[in-house]
Amino acid sequence: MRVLRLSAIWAALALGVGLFVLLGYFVDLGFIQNFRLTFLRWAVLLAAAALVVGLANLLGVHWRKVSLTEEGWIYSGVLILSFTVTLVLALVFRPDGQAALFIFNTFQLPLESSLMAVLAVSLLVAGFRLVNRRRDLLSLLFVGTALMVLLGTGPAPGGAEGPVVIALRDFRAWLSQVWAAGGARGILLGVALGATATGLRVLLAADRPYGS
Amino acid sequence: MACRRCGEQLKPILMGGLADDEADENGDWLERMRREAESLSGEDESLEAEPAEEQELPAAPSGSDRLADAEIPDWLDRIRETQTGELRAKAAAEAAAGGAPARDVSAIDDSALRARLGPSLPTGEGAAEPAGPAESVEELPTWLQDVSPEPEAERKASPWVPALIGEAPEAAQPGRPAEDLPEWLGEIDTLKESIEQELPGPAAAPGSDLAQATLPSWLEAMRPVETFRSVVQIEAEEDQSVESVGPLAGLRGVLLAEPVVAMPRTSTVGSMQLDVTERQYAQAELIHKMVEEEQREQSVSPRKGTRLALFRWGIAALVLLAVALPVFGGSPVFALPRLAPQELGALVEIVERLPVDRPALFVFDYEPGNSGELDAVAGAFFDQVMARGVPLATLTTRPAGSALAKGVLDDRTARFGYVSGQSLLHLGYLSGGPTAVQLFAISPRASILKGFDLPEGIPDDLWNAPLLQGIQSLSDFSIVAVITSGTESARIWAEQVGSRMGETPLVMVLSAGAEPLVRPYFDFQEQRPGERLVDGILSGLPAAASYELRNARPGLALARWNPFGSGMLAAELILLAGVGYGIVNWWLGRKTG
Amino acid sequence: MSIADLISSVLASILTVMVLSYLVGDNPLFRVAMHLLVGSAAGYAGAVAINNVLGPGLVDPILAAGLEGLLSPSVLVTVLVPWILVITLMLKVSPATSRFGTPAMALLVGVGAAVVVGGAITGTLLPQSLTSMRSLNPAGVASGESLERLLELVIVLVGTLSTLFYFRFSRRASGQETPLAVLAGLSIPGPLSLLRSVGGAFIAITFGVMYAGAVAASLIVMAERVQFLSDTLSNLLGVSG
Repeated sequence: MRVLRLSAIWAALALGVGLFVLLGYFVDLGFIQNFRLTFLRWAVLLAAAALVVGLANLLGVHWRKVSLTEEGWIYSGVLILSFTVTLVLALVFRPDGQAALFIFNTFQLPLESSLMAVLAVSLLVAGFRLVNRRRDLLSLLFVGTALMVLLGTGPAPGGAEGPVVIALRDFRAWLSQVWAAGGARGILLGVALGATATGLRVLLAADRPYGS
Repeated sequence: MACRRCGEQLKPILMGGLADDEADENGDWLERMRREAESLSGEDESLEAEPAEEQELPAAPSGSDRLADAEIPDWLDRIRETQTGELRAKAAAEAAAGGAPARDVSAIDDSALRARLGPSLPTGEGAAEPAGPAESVEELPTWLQDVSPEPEAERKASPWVPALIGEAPEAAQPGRPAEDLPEWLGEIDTLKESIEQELPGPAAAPGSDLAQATLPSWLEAMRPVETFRSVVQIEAEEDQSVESVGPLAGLRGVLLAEPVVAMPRTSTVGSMQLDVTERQYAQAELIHKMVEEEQREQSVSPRKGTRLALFRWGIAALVLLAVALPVFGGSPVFALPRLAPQELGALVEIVERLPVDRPALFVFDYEPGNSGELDAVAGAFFDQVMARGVPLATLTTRPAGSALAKGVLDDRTARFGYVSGQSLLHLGYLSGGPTAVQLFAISPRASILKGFDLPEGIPDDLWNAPLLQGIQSLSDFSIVAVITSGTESARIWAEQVGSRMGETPLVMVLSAGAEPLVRPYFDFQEQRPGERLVDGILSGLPAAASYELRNARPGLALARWNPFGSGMLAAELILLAGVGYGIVNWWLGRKTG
Repeated sequence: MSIADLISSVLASILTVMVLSYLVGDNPLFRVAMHLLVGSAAGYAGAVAINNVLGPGLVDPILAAGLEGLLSPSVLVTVLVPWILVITLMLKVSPATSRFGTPAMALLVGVGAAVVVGGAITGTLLPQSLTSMRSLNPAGVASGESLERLLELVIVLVGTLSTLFYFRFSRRASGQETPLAVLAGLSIPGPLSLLRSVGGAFIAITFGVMYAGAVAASLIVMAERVQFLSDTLSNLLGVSG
């Protein structure tokens, strides 16, 4: 019974703050806007705190791996070392300081960019295999559309663009701005409907992702 | 308390011994047992080896010791009479056959019973006197001696309990009138007669009007043909064995427990033969095969890992070669875009109309991994805005966004004469995703508390800086440009701030992959000017290259044009080859089978 | 180029090659590079969150208000309540004290859900629906509009509706729609099945365009990486030469 009351209180809290924030989209009353602003500020602070909690959990997981010398503990040690050095330098010398920016430009930027470059090969390998593995009309339509868009996006070798290249570019524009736009609008509406339903379920305590 | 059978008052059983004169002649059989046990304690224990000699049945008890006739259960009286009669007959037959002295089997049985039960047997005085030769009183158990047989004339009609396996009541008790039997026994006789009449065969009796019922085939197949007996055969009395041990010693027709329980024998059920059809044989065979297949080990197919790695290596080598050739070798060279996209004109027009007294807000909402593309795509846009001298403020909802913004704009600040803190200010990081964007849209001053890379001279309260003094809401900026690689981020900004922009244009600088899902917010051909959420879109390297050409300021977009073109050509060839490979495989598959 | 820049370029080039080695196959160099990335990115994100958000939002107001100012209602609302919420949220690190963070999570989730719902309704559902409805109005189409433009409107409208149908009315496994008719051995699907098929086709086209865009974007980044390696090599050769 006690647990039930507590969970009802938390659900009421989520519903209460959510109602004020949601009403603020449609109603322009002073006290509603004030409450809305307060709750949004608290939520921004809590989001930053949640980020820190997540990082602490990440550190804890890898620390456990190192202390128990599980498989791959050396890599976890590398992670802990890089995390600690970056955090200390960025806190001591500030995130916009030379030391932190040096680490950012030397490690994070090139590593993430290189991962994105590897993605190009992975996408092309998947595209090559698609028709072989799944021979149906939708797969052919997917790959055919991608091919036409690539042909219309990429530059033409040689000198000036010829009529063929211009025609391909126009066809690509028609494909992406008419056909894909229709599908995109339907997808956006579907996503918005789903997000609305999920959000309302959370506000009405049908779903309680925050626990009980 | 009275006896329920005879109605006589029962006397309480007293523990301990009682004097003989205290024992009542009509009761206290326990006391009599005790006295008899004492008297028998000196008897020869080899009562079993007592020579078989004809012994007389116990004589009728004396008058004082005899129990009242009403106390004797009739069924017990009947049983005794029957058995003693049978035993006499057998003993006489044996004597006539083998010269063996006929002995009183009932006495032997009694003695066997006595020997088994020992002194605990009630040995009351007197004994029941059957209609037969008298017997010595001490040869019979006293409890049996007390039971006096009724004279036949005095015996009243009472229910008769037939033997367990026996003949019809008329055969077991010859001369016994049928009207003496209870009703339920009479029903049994009737039922037995009817069964005997029906069992001989399924064929209808001649002259019968009823059609014989036919059994279904599956039931007929289950019929135990060999062991089925149409008539229950009852052995003759003389063939029935006499039980020699246990409390039923001396009785005929007792079910033999020991041979059934102790001795192993084959089950009669197993001896039934079933009629199995061909279809059932086939089904059983099928199940047998299925079970066999389950037990069979399947061979492991050889792995094709090597082929896959080579395949991926080939594609990776082709793409890397295509991209590296223009970088290291300078060729191939691709034609520059001649025609600009339709939306580029609208964007250029928006930038041309920007006021220079209000800062523009650039939102760097992408990860460092996308900086290679978005730095090139947004470069021309930054160049045009900064070329006009519009003050800049940057914001990000990603932790690394401020560092990216600094890296992108640092080179341009020197080129276009911007001074950090006066014409350029980094507002920093906004945590919370959509929540933070909504807070910023409502009240920018309440959401940003600390900037990034602020020069000296900027007050602690960031919003008091000269650049931001006139900014109270989002619509106070001259333009809001969101540079993002993800559709999610673009959608969040369009949803949360789109309705609060007022006359301030909202522009999206996008990665090529994010454009389809952002374009619905931008379709100006279907929206009235005041309802449009996104006022301008810049997406993809071709649009950026066109932009740079229009600005006459070559930038990163044109610098990466040739490697981009070469890489796209390789990608097109790979996809075409994939489609052809798939079609050929499909055609070959159809051909072979 | 300064020494620091040179060292940074060389290190970045080495790390780039370590990541590109994944094209050959998974190897320890790639794993070390990935763990370096995660560690440095996490450390930098934590530092930015603490320095740019939590510090100015929680610590600076207390320092500015002083002990006497802590009891004022405005400080109470803007500082003390967030402090309590943040501390309770921090307790979520340990499973033993995790339940104390539930009220903070409830507030965060409630606000987040309301923002999502409000944005979806006002930013997507209403505008997109109004735009789609307006395209159905013949009076909304200006006279002189070409047939091509009308055809585009029809295509966009059919695409929108069929895509929505595809998501909202998925076929159940237990029952399939009976065909509308069977002609010469070919079964003509019913209206719902036809609409779902058309919706699926539009989705395939949309995702094909997005896939092509992703390929193009990643190729540009690959070009940038190769360009970077070339520049570093030139700088090294220039320095050594």
